[in-house]
Amino acid sequence: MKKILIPLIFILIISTSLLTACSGAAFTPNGWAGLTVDHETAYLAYSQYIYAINVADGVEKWRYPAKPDAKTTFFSPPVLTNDGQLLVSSYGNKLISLNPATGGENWTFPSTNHFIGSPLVVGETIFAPCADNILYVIDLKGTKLWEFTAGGPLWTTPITDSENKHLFFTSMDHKIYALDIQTHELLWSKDLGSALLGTPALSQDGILYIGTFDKQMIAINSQDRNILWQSKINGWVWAGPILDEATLYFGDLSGYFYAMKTDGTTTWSLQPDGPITSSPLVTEAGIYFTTEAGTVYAVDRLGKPLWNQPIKVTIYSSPVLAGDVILITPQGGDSLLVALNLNGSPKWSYTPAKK
Amino acid sequence: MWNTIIIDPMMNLLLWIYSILWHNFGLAIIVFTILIRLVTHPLTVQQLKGSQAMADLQKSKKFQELQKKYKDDKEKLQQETIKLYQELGINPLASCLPTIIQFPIMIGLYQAIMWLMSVTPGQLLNFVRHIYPFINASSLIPINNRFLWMDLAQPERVNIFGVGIPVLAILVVITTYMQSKMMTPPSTSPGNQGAAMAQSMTLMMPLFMGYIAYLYSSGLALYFLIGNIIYMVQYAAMGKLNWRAMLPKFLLRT
Repeated sequence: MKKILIPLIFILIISTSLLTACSGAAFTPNGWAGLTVDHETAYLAYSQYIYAINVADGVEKWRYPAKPDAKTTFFSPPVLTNDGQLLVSSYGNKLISLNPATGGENWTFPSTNHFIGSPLVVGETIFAPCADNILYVIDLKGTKLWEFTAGGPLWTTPITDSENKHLFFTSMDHKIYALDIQTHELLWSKDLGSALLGTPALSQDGILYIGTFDKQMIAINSQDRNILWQSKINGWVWAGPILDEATLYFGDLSGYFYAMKTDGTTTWSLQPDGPITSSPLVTEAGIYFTTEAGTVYAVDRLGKPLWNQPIKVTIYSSPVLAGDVILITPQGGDSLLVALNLNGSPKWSYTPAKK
Repeated sequence: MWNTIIIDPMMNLLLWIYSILWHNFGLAIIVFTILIRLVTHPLTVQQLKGSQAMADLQKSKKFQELQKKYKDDKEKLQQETIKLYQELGINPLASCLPTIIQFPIMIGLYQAIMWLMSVTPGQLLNFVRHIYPFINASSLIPINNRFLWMDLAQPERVNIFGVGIPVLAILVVITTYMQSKMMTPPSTSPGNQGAAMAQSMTLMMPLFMGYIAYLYSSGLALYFLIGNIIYMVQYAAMGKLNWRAMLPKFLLRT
C-alpha cells in the first residue's frame, strides 16, 4: 500500500501544481498597477501592496499591509478623500480606508465579491463599484448608505455631472447606467451591445463618450440616453477616453491611439508599438500615453511625436503627472514606479526592498 | 506552444458552444465533455477491451500457474508475465492511455475555464488575446458563470445549516469510484502485486479526483462528473455494465 501511496501523492502534488502554476492567476491574481498622487507622495497599488513613495526621490515611506495576504490584491488607483483618507479597492472583497500619512487602517467595508475599480468620492459620499454587480454608496466612516444593483459586474469608476446630481457608470452587462444621486433612482440604462470597461468622459453640455469592446466610440446624450453618434475604430477600447477642448484622446487594443472630435470624426491616429490599455495623460505641454509593450509616448495636439521612452516592461496603467515628473507604473520587472522628466529622460525609479 | 495546441482550441470551442447554447456556460461544458468523449471514444473502446483482456488473463489457468510457480521469485514472475502478455497480444499499458490523455485535457480545461470566467482585468485581457477572429466575442463577454446553483469559476458548495457541502465533489468521488471499478478486473490471485495496485487505484483515484473537484472551479468538477457518466454510458452501450461489480464489497454483503 505504501508503495502505491507515495507515487499517488506525488501525482497529486504535480497535478495540483500544474493546475495552479499554469494558471496561477486563478488563486493569486497579479494586480493591475494603479497610481494616485498628492503634493509629495505617490500612492501605488500593485499586486498585494499599497506603497507610499516620496515623489521627489522615489524613497518608500510605508507599505500596506505589513504581511501580504494572497486574497488581498489591488487592481486600481487608490483615491484620496478631502478629509484625509486613502481609499483602496481590494480583490479580497473589501474597500479599505487607510491613513495616507502612516498606512494605518481606518476601516474596511466588506462585500460579497471583489472590488476591482476605484471608488468615486463626491463630497462626503463614496460610490464603490463591486464585482457583485452592486454599486455601494458609503459614507466617509465606512457605513453603507444605500446601494444599487446593476445587471453585471462593476469594474470601473463612476462619474458625476458638474452639479453632482447625476451619476453615470458602466457595467460588464453591456450597459451604461444613470442614477439620481439625491433620490437614488435609476434614471435610465442603455445597452450598448458589448462589454464596457472604461469610465466614460462627460462634456459640459452633458454628452457621454464611451469606448466599447465592439470597436466603437459612442456619444450618448446623458439627459435622454439617445445615441448621438457611433464611430468605428480599429480595436476594442479598454480604458475610457479623455476629453480635452472638444477632442477625445484614447487608445485601443489593436495598438492605435486616436484624437477624435466630439462629432465622431477622427482628427488623427497613430500606431505606437503595442496595444493601449489605459487612458492618456493630457496636459498643456502634450499628450502622454503608454503601451503594453512598455513605451511611454509624448505627442502634441496635432499628433506630432515629441518623444518616446522605452521602459521595456509591460505597462497597463495610465501615466500620472506629479509636479514636474511623469510617473509610470511598469509591471513584471523589478521597478514598480518610474519617474520621467517632462522631456522623457528618466529621473528615478522605485524598486521595493524585499521584506 | 501549450496555449496554441491545448488551451486556445479548448477555450474557443467552449466559447463557440456557449454562443450557440443560449449563453449557458454549464451546458457548454456538458456539450464540450460529450465532444471530448466522442473524440476519444476509440481509445475508450481500446481501454475497455484491454481491461477485459486483463481480466480474462488473470482468470486463466496459465496465469495462475505462473503465480504459484514463481511466488518466491518476483523478478522471474515479472519476466514470465510479460512473456505471457506478448504471447496473448495484450498491451497492459493500453488501458492507461485514455486516463493519461485526460491529464492535459483536465489542465487545459481548467485554464480555459479560468480565462473564460475572467475575474480579474489581467485574465480578461489574456482571454481576449486568444479568441479566434471568427468568433464575435465582444457581445459574449462577460461569460455567464452561473449554472444551476453553481458559480462555475469557484469551487462548489451547497450551504446546509451553515455548512458548505461539496456536493459536486462527492458525486465526482462516487462516479469515479464506479468507473474505476469497471476498469479494474476482479482479482483472482490475492498475492498478485499488480492486482493489488489496481485495487488500490480504484480507491485512490476517486479520492484524487474528488480532491481536485473540491479544490478547483466547479466547471472542472462538472467536466469530471459528466465525463464519468458518459464513460459508464459508453460501457453500457458495449454491453459490459455490471452494477454488482461497481458496488463496494460491504454493500454487497448486506
